[in-house]
Amino acid sequence: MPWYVIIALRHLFPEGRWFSLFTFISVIGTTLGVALLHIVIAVFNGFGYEIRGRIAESFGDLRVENRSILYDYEEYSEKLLADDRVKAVAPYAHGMVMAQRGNLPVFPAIQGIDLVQEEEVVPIAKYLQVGALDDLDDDSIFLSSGIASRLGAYVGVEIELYTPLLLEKLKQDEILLPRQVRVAGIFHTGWNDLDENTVLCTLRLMQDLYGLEEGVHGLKVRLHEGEDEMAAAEDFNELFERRVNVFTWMDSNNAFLSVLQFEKRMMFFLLSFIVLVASFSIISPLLIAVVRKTREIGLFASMGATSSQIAACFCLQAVFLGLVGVLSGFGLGAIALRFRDQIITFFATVTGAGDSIHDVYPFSFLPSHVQVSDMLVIGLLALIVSFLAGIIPALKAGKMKPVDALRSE
Amino acid sequence: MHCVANRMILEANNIEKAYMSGEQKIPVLMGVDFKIAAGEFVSIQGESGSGKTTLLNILAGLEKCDSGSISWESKQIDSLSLDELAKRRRSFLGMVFQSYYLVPELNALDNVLLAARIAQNGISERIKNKTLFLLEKVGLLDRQKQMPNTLSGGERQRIAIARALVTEPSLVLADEPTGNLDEHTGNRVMDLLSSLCSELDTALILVTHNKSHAELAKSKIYLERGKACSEK
Ligand SMILES: Nc1ncnc2c1ncn2[C@@H]1O[C@H](COP(=O)(O)OP(=O)(O)O)[C@@H](O)[C@H]1O
Ligand SMILES: [Mg+2]
Repeated sequence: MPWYVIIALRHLFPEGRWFSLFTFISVIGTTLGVALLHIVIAVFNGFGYEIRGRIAESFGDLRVENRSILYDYEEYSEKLLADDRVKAVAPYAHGMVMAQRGNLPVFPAIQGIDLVQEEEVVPIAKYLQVGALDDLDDDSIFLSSGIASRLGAYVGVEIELYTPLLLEKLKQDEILLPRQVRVAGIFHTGWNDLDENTVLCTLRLMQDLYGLEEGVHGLKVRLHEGEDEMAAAEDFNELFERRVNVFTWMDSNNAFLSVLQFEKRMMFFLLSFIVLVASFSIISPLLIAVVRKTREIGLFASMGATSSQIAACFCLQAVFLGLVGVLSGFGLGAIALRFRDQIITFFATVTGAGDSIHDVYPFSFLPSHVQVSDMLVIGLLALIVSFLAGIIPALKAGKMKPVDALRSE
Repeated sequence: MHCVANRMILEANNIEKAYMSGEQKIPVLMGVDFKIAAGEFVSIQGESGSGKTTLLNILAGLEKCDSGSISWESKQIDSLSLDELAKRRRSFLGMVFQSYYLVPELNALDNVLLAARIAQNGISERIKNKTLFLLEKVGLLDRQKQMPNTLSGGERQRIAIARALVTEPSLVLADEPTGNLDEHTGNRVMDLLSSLCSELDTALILVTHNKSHAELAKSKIYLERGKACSEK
């Protein structure tokens, strides 16, 4: 090891002492900065991860559509199921309707599903807040929580459905009456897009409402845990020679996901200033150390140390301090994340907020998802900033004239 | 004496140095000549402020003179930068200071090894043995793990002497090495320094206020009014 590395380490961690106030003070800022960044990004990731999970859960990993009506969907279904990666496939038909209760209209998206197959792909039973799956028949629908509250509807209420088919028939001078359906249940997925404006019905009913006969609009595909949706989508597109379009839940929610990504980047950017500020706590103790060690610097020079080696000795101290700060910051962050529920409960109790926190948040717990790539960026950022912070004391040390250093009292 | 002993390892001719104090120019050295042969012992005396330390620093290449020329082992060093001088200094000379200048964070052994580390980027078996040999010579082999602040002044200076010699330099420069020590300890340290240097055939330049220490030298120099003279 070069001598200046040894000296740098010895300055920071003096022999025979496990604790150095100088080191502690210089490191604490970086520790807190890194810990904060680590915690916030992990929780933010947690929310993102949770939301992505919910989208994928309710959307299906893949969808197969042909932009028109898919009559031979059973054939596609069989081919998909023949693939090892595919866990389940379910057909669906979707569109828009006007739903009216009394004289109150709403315009939800409607989805017709085959309950038995759908359950293999999307955990609808889990989503049902009121009602039971078995209650859904060809004369009833499930309302999303948003629609239910806007219509003031509850289970058992009758609702009229108007479909585009009515207008179509009207053009041919036929009159079709709106379909009378009963509310059989209310669901909530946790994914806002669905919860605000969707109703579910049986595939049969949807085929009727839209005049699809035996056709559907597409297939939802659930892959086995851990399979790569992107790769699978590509493979299936090849398999079907692009007669249909196979796409992932991510393709379909691209805009939303990029907003999520953008938010994270912004958050990261803003919080990184904390690390910047925190690293300033390295500069002044190190500058003081340079002054305190002036005669030592003169001694090094008298023994043949070059000015760049002397500068390196002090710059390295900043980097080591940064390294300690990064490690202890991640340690502190990990502890805080590990006990986040206890911490939140504690604060909730102390501030008297009690259980109301759990009512406000869509999640019953604070999600956290640690990404190694984020940690690398945080760590690297803190190290680079520490290095930059070390440059000022290093220049001061390196620029010292050996004789002046030796003569200083 | 064989001729190798007479080889000049350091020569300085007509050294001039002045310091600026505000507008005023304060001349310190005004044409000093100096030379020392391999293994030789030269003492420098002079009143406080006569420029002894200044001369030593210039000879050591720690500072540039205003005019004059210096050569180390017959090689002119005047045009070298301070960093280049630092690199040459590593194996050429060792220094001993009045107030020891041990690194407080390093134990005695590491303080000695530091000089070798700076000189050659790492510690060979030979250097390790040399270090232990020198610690033995200065009588502190059993104190090698002690930190400087647990050593007495005399002990610290003995460590500093071992440190100056560990790189096997041709020359040791000592600036009032006994200045901070009581008479008895000072004498012991001085004995050690001069006997070690002659044993290792290392030249020694000693700046001292102590007449009896100066007498140990083969040649004596006095600094006075910016000039060096051999008699007084
Ligand atoms: N950096 C400096 N700036 C101004 N004057 C200096 C400086 N260094 C030394 N001097 C002056 O040079 C003179 C000689 O100093 P020095 O070589 O330390 O003397 P000695 O070692 O013989 O006591 C003194 O008058 C001192 O004040
Ligand atoms: Mg002096």
